[in-house]
Amino acid sequence: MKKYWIVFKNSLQTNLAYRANFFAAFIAEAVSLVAIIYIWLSIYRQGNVIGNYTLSNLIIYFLITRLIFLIINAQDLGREVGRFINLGQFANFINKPINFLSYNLASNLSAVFNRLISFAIFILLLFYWSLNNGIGIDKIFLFLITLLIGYLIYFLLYYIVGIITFFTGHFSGINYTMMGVLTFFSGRLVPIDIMPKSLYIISNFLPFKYIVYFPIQIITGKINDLQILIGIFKGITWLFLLIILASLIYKKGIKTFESYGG
Amino acid sequence: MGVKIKRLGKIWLLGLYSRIMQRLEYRFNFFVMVVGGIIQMSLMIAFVNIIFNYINNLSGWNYDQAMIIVGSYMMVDGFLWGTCAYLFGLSLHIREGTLDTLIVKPADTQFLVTASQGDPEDWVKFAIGLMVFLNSLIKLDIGLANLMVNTPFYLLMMLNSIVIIYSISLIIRSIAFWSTDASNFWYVIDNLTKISQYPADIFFNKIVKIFFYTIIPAAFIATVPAEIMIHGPNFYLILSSTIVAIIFFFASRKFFNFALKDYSSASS
Repeated sequence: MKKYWIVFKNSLQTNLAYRANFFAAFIAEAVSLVAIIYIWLSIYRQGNVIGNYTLSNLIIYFLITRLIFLIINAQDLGREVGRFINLGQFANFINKPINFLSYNLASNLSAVFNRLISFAIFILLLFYWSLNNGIGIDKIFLFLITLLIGYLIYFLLYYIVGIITFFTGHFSGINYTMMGVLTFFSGRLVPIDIMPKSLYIISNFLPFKYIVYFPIQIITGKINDLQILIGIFKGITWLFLLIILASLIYKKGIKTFESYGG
Repeated sequence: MGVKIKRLGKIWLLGLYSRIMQRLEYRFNFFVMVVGGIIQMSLMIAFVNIIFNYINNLSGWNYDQAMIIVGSYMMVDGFLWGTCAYLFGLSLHIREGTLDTLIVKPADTQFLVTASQGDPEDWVKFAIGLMVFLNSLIKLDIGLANLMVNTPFYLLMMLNSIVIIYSISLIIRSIAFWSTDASNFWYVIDNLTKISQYPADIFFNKIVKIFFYTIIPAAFIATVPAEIMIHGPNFYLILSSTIVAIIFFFASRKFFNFALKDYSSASS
């Protein structure tokens, strides 16, 4: 455990050194959020209603979505892990007594921790808003649990994308595909329940909705206790399935790994 | 001048050829990239479809008119990635010192950074965009005479769009010459340009609208070309778009050359 703590601390220092990068991610999310909010504003200005969402419901939905993605952002992970394998840097790692998954998780968690601190004020505002809108402490607690499950699912998906490089030789194709599919089916672009029925059904068979859509349903009080419990159970099941899948890919992949040069 | 253009064209073709060879080294990955491109474009269309499931028009644009905007955006995006992919990876090349290989070559550095590499898989975006555009155009039935008049102006506006996105990208990516790690800057550009796939009329607030017509001229990228294709030439918009494109191009060139002076190689 101590070695992963050291990885965590080292990565934290690295992340603190790249403040411009962090600021860029914030600007990017803010710009995208402005556009999304304006789309919904112009729709509601015309007197339209989307599903059973009021305009303020939708704006809050997107504010929370962007906040969560800003904090848990791991979409560079697939690229980083993929490059690590593709460029042969993995050869330096292979003999070390470190678990590759845990190493990447420790490193990624430090970035999440850094962003969590940076956006603490927004998180506190979210909790304040929830409490003022009749959402109890228990729901906030469940929200945090589902957020953790969601983050781990998100992390594992991109980790799997990265280690698939063992077989494909390159990561870019699968990483690019994952970015599109995840953005859409996680509910980042539109809440899943306003999608057409066919897409809604498909999204229920995928793990993506547990990343943001499901936690937001809890914090906005849209689902009851039974639905929360079933959702948590399904989320944890997906988490275990992804851990098993990641281990299988890694074990098979390490046997195919080839590296040349000194 | 003619000889120079011919030489630059040859460099571009050689860059494209070498990129295709690189891509064929990982054939499966190339295939997945193409499929990924198709999925990304399909989801973009699905998003517009979801919105239009609930509404008849978005700030005055009906479904087919909105799809002209989406198709135009896809074509511009696909064209730029298909021809100027090196530029989109500029921060990585600066960080890893691989930019050295371009700087020492006897040709204009900005041209080499822009066009030495194109991603062939992104031509699928352009193709899908063209299909979306043509399909919507047929449905709109604007008439042959209008089509004959509007098309040349539409193409001019699309050229301006390419210049504007290219210039914004060059300016923002040039920041990487000063910042140690600017990998997230692509994300800013991506989100800025993605705004242009929606009608600029959604920005009903005057200040926001001015912002998206001047400082970040996202409106000129797809909305203005679509408007001219559908409603015919508007000389005020054509002139504005051309002026904005020229200003952004020369500003980006100045900025790039200024930033390039601070390049310090990271290679061994």
